[in-house]
Formats: sequence, C-alpha cells, structure tokens
Amino acid sequence: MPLPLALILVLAALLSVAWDLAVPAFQGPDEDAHFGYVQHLAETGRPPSPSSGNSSYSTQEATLLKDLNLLSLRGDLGGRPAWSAADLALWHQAEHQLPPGSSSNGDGPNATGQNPPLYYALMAIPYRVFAWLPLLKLLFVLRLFDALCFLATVSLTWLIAGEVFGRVRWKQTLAAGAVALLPQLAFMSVVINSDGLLTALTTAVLWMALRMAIRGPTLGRVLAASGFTAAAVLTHGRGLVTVPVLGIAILVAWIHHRPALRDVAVQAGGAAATVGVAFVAYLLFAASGGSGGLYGGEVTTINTSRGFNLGQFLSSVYQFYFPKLPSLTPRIGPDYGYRQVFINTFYATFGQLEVTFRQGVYDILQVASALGLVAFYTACVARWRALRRSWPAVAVMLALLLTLLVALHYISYRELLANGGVDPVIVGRYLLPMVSLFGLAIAFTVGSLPRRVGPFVGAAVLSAGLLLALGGVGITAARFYA
Amino acid sequence: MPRPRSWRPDLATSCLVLMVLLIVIGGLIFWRPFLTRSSQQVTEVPAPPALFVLAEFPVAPNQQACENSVTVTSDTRFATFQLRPAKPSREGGPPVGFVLSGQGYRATAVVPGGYPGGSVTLRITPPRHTLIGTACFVNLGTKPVLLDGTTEGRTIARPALEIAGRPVTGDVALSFQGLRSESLPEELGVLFDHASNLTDGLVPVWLIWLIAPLVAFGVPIALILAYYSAMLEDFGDAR
Repeated sequence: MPLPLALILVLAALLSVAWDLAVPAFQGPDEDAHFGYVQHLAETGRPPSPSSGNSSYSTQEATLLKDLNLLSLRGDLGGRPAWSAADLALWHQAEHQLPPGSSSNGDGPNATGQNPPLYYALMAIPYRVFAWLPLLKLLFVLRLFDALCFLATVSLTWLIAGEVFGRVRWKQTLAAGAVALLPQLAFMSVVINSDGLLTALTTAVLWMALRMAIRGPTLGRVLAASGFTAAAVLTHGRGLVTVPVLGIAILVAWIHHRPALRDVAVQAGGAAATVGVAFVAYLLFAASGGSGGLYGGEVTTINTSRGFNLGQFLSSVYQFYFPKLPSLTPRIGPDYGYRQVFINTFYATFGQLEVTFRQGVYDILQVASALGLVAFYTACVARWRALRRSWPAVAVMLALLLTLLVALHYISYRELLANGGVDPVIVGRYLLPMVSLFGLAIAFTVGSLPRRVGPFVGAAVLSAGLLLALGGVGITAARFYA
Repeated sequence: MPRPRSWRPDLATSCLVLMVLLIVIGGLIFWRPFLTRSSQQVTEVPAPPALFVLAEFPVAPNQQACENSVTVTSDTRFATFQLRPAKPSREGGPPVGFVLSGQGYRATAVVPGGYPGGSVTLRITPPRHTLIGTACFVNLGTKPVLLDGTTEGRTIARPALEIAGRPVTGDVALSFQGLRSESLPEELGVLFDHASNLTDGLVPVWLIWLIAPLVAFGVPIALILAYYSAMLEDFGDAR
C-alpha cells in the first residue's frame, strides 16, 4: 500500500474512534431507528415493519434510551445524557432485570423498516458475534464496524484519483485527504445508519464505472460494477441512482472501445442479470417481511402523489440555488436551499442537526466553495482539450453528479407536495454518495494550477480541512459531555 | 573553488513547513475562542426543557410537584428551573420551596415570592456522594404557580413527575450546575469521565487520555507526512 494512502487511512481511523467517543449512543441521525432494524433482524431474522407492530424499539433499547436520557437528549441543546457512574449503575440494574425477549420485540413501526436489508444484514454479523456484550458496549463496537465503510470510501477515492489523474501521488493524496477530512463524512462514519455503506458502494460503482470507461469493458469489470450497483440498490432507495450511472458507463465504454457484438451481448446480459437478481431477491424479501413492496412502497408513493407540475418543479430547483425572479411564484416549502444543503449540512452539522459551528464558519465555507467553483470552472475551460480527450471519464462522473442531484431535487419537490410544504427532506449528508467527486474536483482544480502554486494551495486546503475535522469532534464532545 | 550554494528547501519541505504553520496559526485563530471560553459547568440535566412546545405545570397553594430518579452529583452547587405566577399580578409569584432528597441526604432552598417569572438558579448543598433522589417544588404561597417543562414525547426524560401525589405525564425542566465557570481544557477530566461512562466503561478514562492526544497530534502528523511523502514521490527534491 502506498505510504500516503496508509497515513490517510490511519488519520481516518483515528477520526472515527474520536467520533465514536464524542457522540453518545443514538445521537446520530435516526440512529435509534437504524439500530432497531439491525437488532430486530439479528435477533429474529425479520426486518421490523415500517407501519405496524407493537413497539418501535425493543424493550432493551427503549429502557436504555429512557434511563440515560438519550431520547430526551436528541436535538435538544439544553439536554445532557445521564452521564454519572450512579446513572450507569441504575442502567446496569435495569438491564439485568429485563425479561427474556427484551432485545427481540422491537417489531415496529420503525420508519427504517422500508429500507432494503443489505446494510442491516451485514451489521447483524458483528451484532451476533458481540451480542454477549451489554448494549452500550455493543453499540460502540458496532460503530467501529460501521467505520470500515468510511475507510473504504477514502481508499476508493484514492483509487478513482489514480484512474483519473494517473499515478500522481500528491493529487491522489489531496483527493483522498479532502474526503477523509470532511467532518460530515467522518461523523457519519460512526453512526449506525445505512448512509455509510451507501456512500462506499456508490463510490465503488464510480470507481469500476471509470475503469470500464477508461480501460475498456471487460466482463469482469462489467460484473464488478453491476455487483456494486446491485449492492447499492439493496442498501437504500437512494442507491437507485447508481443504476443509470451503470447504464451510462457501459454505454460510454462500448462507444469508446467498440467491443465485438458478442461481447456486448454477454456484458449486457451479465449486468442486467446481476442487477435484476438483486431486485428479485429484494422483492421476495420485502414480500416475506410484509414491508409493503420495494422500499416500503415509497418509490411508488413519491411518483404517484398528485400535483406534479414540471414548471413548478423547475422553478423550485432554480430558487433552491438563486434568488427568486419577479416572474416566478414563490418556491413551496420553507426558506431552504443551497446554503442549508451544500454548505451547512454537507460540511459540518452533527448530532441530530443541533451541533453546529458558529455561523461565521459557514460563511467562510460558502465563500471558499464559491471561489472553488469559479476556479473549477476556469480549470475546465483552460483544460478543455484534455477534458474532451477524456470524455468517457467525464461522462461517467457527470452521470453520477446529475443523476443524484436530479433525484434529490425530485424527491424533495415530491415530498414537499405531499407534506404540505413543511419538510424539504433533503440534507447535505444525502450528497455524500458523490463525495469522491468533491475530492476529485479539488484535486483537479488545484492540480491545474502552475507547479509553483498548486502544491501549496493543496497544502492549504488540507490544513483547513484538518482544522474543521478536529474542530467538529471538539464541539460535539463539548455539546454532549461538558 | 566551487561557490557555496545557499540552501533552499525543496517543494515537499516547503509544503510541509507551510502546513505546519497554517495548522498552528489556524488552530490558534479557529480553536482559541472555543478552548478559552468559560462556561458554567453543567453537572447533570435530569429533565431538559421542551424542544418545540413549552408545557406549564400548575401547582396549587400548599401542594407540591415531585420528580423522582433525579441524579444529584457531589459537585453540584446550583439548581436551575423556570417558574411563573399562574396569573400575572403586581405582587408577582408565590414563594416556592425546592427540596432535594435521597438516601441520607436532604437539601432545601426557597425562591422568595414576588418574582415576575422566568429562570431561577438556587444555591444548594450537594450530597457527599452522587446519588439518585427526588426533587420537589413546594408552593409555599397562597396563589398557584406554573412550573415550565415538557410533555413532548421526545423530550420526556427518566424522572417521573407527580403533582399533589398524582402521576402526571411530562417533566419539569431542571438542571444542575457546578461551582465554577470552567474552560474546556480545565473540564477535560470530567468530560472524559462522562464519555467513558457512556461507553459503559468499554473505553476507560485512562485510555481516553491516551486517545485524545493521539487524535489531536496524530491526525495532523499523519496528514502532513502523507502529503510530504506524496510530494517527495512525485517531485523528489525539486525546488
């Protein structure tokens, strides 16, 4: 393993351990519900129901949430966990008195029950191995397993940078380092939540799709890319965005490398079969678990809810990024847009959205991001010929960027229609599946600068990332434990 | 005779120096206010305030509201809660007694009557050892008083509330503070103790004392070395 990558993985692992300590049990986004799914699946072999059942949490989880004030703590800055040794002793007493079956009765309703089972099935393995541990210890250990997805994402970003830039170590280090130091990603790395696996798998799809597009579509590469896509589809509804990316990548690879027709047929069949088998397997699993069809019926619900208006949708997307034009009707929903999603909750918003830096930090991040975008655009224009020569790779990366953005805007618009404009649903962590593009964009932009300048700007970007990364751990630990 | 060449750092070393400088200077600017700002030490929050909708619990004259399962730590010196007269008047709210009790422990304090309403902080005598007991708010006046709290399902904490001996859904918001206003570095020992307890002792306090500097210094060192070694590999000793 190259030394820079090894060091970045050490850095990432240290950050994950720090985050695991800084965030008390169940204080990540929806962590209580995701853990409930893992626990119910591991204990009973069945997912919890998204809409029915006797209890959202198992008695064991509910008791822990109550006894250590972990439920009342969620999102409430005035709250603190019950953190003393006396509180812990009280919990031990309660845990020992729990009746048999207390860890297996969280049958629902659990909102995460609509998710496909791959993440939860994988987490059920360490759960079963360490099931003898008391719950708080078990959760800490499970989070460390979760962090493996973070390390995979960082490693895959390194590999992608290698595909795109060649064996240029400082650019690979810059891309992978920027991803490892993104506070939101490091924070999410220890939260029991399928987002971490989805991010790693989407990054893996991009890596293999780029290999196909750049090196040619061998059956092995097509099957690998399809396998990662199938896994993403089986991890979360948002994993569906990888399907068009896979399709575009295969198409681009065929156009660019012109394989024999027989090879095309075999590869197409292999890809369709791999993804198709995943869908069929999920359909059978959903039918047996009674979770209401694929993704709990959410995809169908989103697409059939009334009131969709293309003009309103496009206007809504425009107003998400830019101030409203006089001719436009106001965007439905709260005052929520680019700043909240691409800056605040993409870079650094922790806990249940209540732990944030001072607003000035986000102002600086917004200005830096805008300058970065201008620099990125300038680099694209300046290196237009090189980009045209690399069109297969560019097409694949654009496919992921646009598919994810369009999907998120569409989901947000549909949800706003459905919930009366109350909740736009999307937050910055939903952008994390394309976090490798964030690292690549930084490396491309900085790498386009003259050699006397570029490496120094890269050093400055990584230094700023480090300050944010460690600062995020600090403010979170202070919020929960001070 | 060859002329002595003046030393100029190569590209990798220059980047290394720049990163060290930026991290040290940036750290001082970015983290210093956070590290040096003092804030009142919170020793325990038995019941947090409401997140969205404030609930008011009325307590009639000579009646009391009691919350059980309240942890009082041995370093607690102050208790904070919110109250207001049931009906605004010139005389203000009635006097309210605050009683903390547990095994072998009892502490009392009084909010004098005449207040307009709002947050009050009372000095209390702490127990010798941390214990789990009961907190009671006793209306000592002749008019009803309202205690602020929560009935939101998501913010109801461990303590169970009784008013005039009857169970009530919800909690009166209550928090305890220590004597001193402390900065974060001064509070590290306590902070690590809390973090360790929340891992159920899986990560003991001494290990957190090892992990914390490892993260604080190991992460920057790993980053700087990663970039430095990458630059060396790409540019060698180019200047």
